[in-house]
Amino acid sequence: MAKFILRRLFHAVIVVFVISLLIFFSIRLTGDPVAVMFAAGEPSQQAIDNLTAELGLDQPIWVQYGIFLRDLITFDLGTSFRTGQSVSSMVAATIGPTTLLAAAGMAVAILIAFPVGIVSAVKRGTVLDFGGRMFSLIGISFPNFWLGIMLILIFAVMLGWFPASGYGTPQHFVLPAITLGLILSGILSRLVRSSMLEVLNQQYIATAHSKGLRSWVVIFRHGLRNALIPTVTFMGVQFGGLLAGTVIIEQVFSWPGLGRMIIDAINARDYPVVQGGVIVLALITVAVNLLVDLSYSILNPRIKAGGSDS
Amino acid sequence: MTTTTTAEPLLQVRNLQKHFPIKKSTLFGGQKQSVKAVDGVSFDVYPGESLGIVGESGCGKSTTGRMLLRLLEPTGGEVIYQGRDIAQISAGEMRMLRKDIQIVFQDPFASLNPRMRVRQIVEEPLMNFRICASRKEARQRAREILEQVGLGENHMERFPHEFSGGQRQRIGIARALASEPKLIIADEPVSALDVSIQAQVLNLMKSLQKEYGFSFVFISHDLSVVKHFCDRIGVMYLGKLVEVAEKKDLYAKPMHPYAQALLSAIPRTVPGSTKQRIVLQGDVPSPANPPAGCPFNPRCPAAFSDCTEIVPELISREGRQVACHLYPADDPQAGQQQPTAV
Amino acid sequence: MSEKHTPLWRLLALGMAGTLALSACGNGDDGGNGSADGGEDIDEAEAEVDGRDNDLVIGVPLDVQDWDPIATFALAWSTQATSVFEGLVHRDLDLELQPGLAEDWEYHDDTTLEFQLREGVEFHNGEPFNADAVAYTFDRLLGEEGAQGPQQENYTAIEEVEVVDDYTVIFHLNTPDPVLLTNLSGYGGVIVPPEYMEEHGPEHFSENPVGTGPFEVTEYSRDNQTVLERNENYWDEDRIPELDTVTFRIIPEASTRLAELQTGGIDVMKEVEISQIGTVEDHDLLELDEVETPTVRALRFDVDREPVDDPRVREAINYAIDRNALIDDLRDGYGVPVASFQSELSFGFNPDLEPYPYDPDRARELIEEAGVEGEELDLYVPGDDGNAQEAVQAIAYFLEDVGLSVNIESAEQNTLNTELVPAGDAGHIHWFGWGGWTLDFHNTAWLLYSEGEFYNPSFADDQVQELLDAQRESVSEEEREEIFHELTEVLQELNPDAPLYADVYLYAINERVQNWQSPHDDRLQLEDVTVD
Repeated sequence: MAKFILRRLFHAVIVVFVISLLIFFSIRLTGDPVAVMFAAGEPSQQAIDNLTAELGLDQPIWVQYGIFLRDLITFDLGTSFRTGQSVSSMVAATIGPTTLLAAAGMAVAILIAFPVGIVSAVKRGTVLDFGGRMFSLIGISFPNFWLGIMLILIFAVMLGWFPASGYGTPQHFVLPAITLGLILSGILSRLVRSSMLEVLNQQYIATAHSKGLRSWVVIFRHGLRNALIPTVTFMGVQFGGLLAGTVIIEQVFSWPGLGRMIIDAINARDYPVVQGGVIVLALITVAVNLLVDLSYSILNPRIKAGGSDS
Repeated sequence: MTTTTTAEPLLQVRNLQKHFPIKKSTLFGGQKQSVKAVDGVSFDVYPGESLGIVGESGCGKSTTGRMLLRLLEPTGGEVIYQGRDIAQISAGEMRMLRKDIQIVFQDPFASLNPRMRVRQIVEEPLMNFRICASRKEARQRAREILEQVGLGENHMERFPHEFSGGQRQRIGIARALASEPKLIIADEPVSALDVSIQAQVLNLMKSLQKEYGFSFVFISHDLSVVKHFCDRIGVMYLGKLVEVAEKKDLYAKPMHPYAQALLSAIPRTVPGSTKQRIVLQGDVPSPANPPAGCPFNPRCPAAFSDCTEIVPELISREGRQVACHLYPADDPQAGQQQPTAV
Repeated sequence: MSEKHTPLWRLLALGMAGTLALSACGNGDDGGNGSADGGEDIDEAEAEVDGRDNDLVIGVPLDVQDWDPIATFALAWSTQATSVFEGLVHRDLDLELQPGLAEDWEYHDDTTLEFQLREGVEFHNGEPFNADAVAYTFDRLLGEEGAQGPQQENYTAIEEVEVVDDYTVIFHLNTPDPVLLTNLSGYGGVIVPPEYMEEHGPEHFSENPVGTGPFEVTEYSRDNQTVLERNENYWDEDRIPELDTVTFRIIPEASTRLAELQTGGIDVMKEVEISQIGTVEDHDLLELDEVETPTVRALRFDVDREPVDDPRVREAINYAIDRNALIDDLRDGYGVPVASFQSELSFGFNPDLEPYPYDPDRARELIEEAGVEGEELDLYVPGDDGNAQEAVQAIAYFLEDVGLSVNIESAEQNTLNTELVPAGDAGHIHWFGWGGWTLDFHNTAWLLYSEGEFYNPSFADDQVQELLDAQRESVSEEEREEIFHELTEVLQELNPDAPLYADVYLYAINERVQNWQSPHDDRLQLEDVTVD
């Protein structure tokens, strides 16, 4: 197990290195941060040249990358051009809200998707199944931006049940988490349904029935627990998508999160923040996938972490 | 072990049917068709006996087996157990009735929940059928049962994937045994196992039957396995029983041409044996579109005009039952659906 | 017709951030429109405010990001920071310069400016305001720290700040600077507390600002909210705020902002979109407030490219566009037609100069004369600006009506303004907005028409250059105004651009808010505001 984790940590280092290379050069293709800093200031060419030199952006790009890597090794993500804050402190301030939003969204998705997917699978071919499949289709095809606005109009403006936006109290979580959760539950319920269908066709389900167990015991104890494996894998793989989803939600609901910070930084060509933010996201994704892999060994005794047996 | 003709049947199967609907969508709407996987099967199972049901794959024997526990819902006919038609009772009653009728599946890899420990697999029916009052008791009982199938205490906390195929089938048997059933449906219980293991498992099943006295319905495509295990044998073809006979009678002299063909295909254990092997022509017809008359007629070497027109009934003759126009009824009960034991 | 022009590398960079859905964000303006329209049907007049007494909450789209005055050019900065910081000069809501931290000032000559500082003023942390603080502020702005931000550029005319005594400073200039006083009223010119800055450093300051203004910052949470509290010790007793607190909430989505206003989550909404006007007007408890701004929208020509190198073609395009239709039909009448690249708020505005009239016949004649009928022009527009997108669709129609053909290309706003335009890669015509925040035509005219400037890839004219140089040498208001009036006339003949309209900004306000005055320049001044 320790060996497995070590190997994955080594992978993570390589992933971060590759990401650093890609993000470093690709963000520099998006344009000149200095001109953007002056965007409302209407500067002279002289001023632009001066500031470029001050920020070290006049140096050869490989030199800049070298400095960036050197700092990265010491966990120094640099200083934002735009806020003057260290990128680490900015990430630290935004990662909490994003993680909480993602977790709350995931929780909502699970609460919705599992019942829908299970009912759909168990009542395959019935009206309930049709309804469940329509639900997931709608979930998959709804733009989360639009859904967010609709939920605000209905639950904040018309009904006045929840605040329309903002961050701070539990009430503020409700609408963003439901938006994110609904979108995610579309695809998740579809996956739960197909995993459940596959498992319910397994012979050990017939075995379980032959033990005289109640249907719901069979479905949950014998069916769901086995259907969890592909579902958890999926949720791990979807994690990147989940984070991308939070970006839009953060925008709509004025959520002070990591995704919004990176988007703002891209628009402002705030290189250090984009680089640092993306690298942290990459690390999170690697970590989540590691956790998913580790959770296999709990969910499925056939898979020993390290993968000696399949 | 031989059956006693006087005993009351444990289980009576009458005209059992399983028709699976298939959709055939044409331009002018769906034309309802069905696959007659099991098409009017009748037989009795007596206490303590082993009834074999043989046939090629797709003949409906496994479907029949599952309908006996209502793991599949019959579309017609009756399964009478203790005077009640179990095709009609409520789902709750059926669940409790499964204590008496158990099943061992063909594939020991697929039939055990991969996420449960062996102990849990065996304890679950003990608790569910209230055979044991406490977890502790169930655990003790599970240990005893596993011991009986040849698995030790050290195996109890393991997961199914840690076992060989033969061991897994022993776990499956232990699980079936746990509820102290009166009847065990064994659906190809050894066909997935290595030949060297098959005999061990069969011997285990046999000795357990001797100890507990339950009945077996032993479903197999392998006549040589059935020969060693069963007292009586029913031969199925295309959803119907074509011959039911005492083992010794059937192996000595199969009457139905299909039974003859099947038996001739058994590998000879004696080298140089000269018996002519009957090779059937053509493929098994689709159960969705069975031939008119006797289902076997397109492949039957002895078919004549009646065979393509009239469906032969399963009738008693020479101490057995056979459904073939070659053998007209020889007793007053001929033509009746009631099968009789000999 | 409107083809998205998003370079592959940009998509790549966005994808890297795991944010492919970004386009929905960038187009928030458009996306918001539809649903905001939907809001009209919802007849809800809640907007009642619970739990707030003498407190005001303002919903704004953008955050300050860095409170350090030397580090930013963001308008969003001055929206909040005007309440916190002060310069030697104060620009009031009528855009007049008034005494600020300086009680009085006097030009000894064109390059020597003496300030008498106000006595008895304290920073929010209790530190005294005096000549040392002024000297410190400008040493910092003009020194190494200032060089790392964009503000230094605006103050390079200052050679040295001489401390005469505790409350007297003299600015020695290396060149006359007509807009220096205006610049001293905000941004890099606001005074920071030396001891606090030295003790805590700029990184701390950028999140925990301290100034002398009527409000002090008691809570700042980036991209979330800022809480300001009344400065009880404010030096001007007449301007001690009525409100206990002001909270700025950062709500980037216009539809969400409106929803917050409708539900009483905020009292004032900054940047109401045209499509939201109906919802606000129909709401019993909400009022719409409009205010002219110095921001001007225009089409600019790349005069190096055929056929717009021909002045007749540029003139024809000026005649071909119906500016009133753009304002009335697309902006619900919220906009003011302009004749030059400045609004009437700007020093140098020529009230006698009329915008080009809508005269398609004259345009056709000129096109015929130039012999360019049917020629295709590339028109670049910021793809993430919904208003611009709508306007250029209409403009394309106007130009096609007079015999030209238009190919609209979209580019992301920052890319267009900071890369394509400076490089001369923005087609024949591009859509351009200009803030004009110094409220003096110098800044605009110099940077757009002086040869070789960043935003001016191709235009050069001797007469224009002469006029630009002349106004720069002078600090006499009369003389400069005269020069600017002449300049605007020359420019209208040369047509390096087609000025369209000056923006009108819209605020929506809950009726519980009293004495609200929307600023022309985004610099909210909240001292007089009260709430019921």
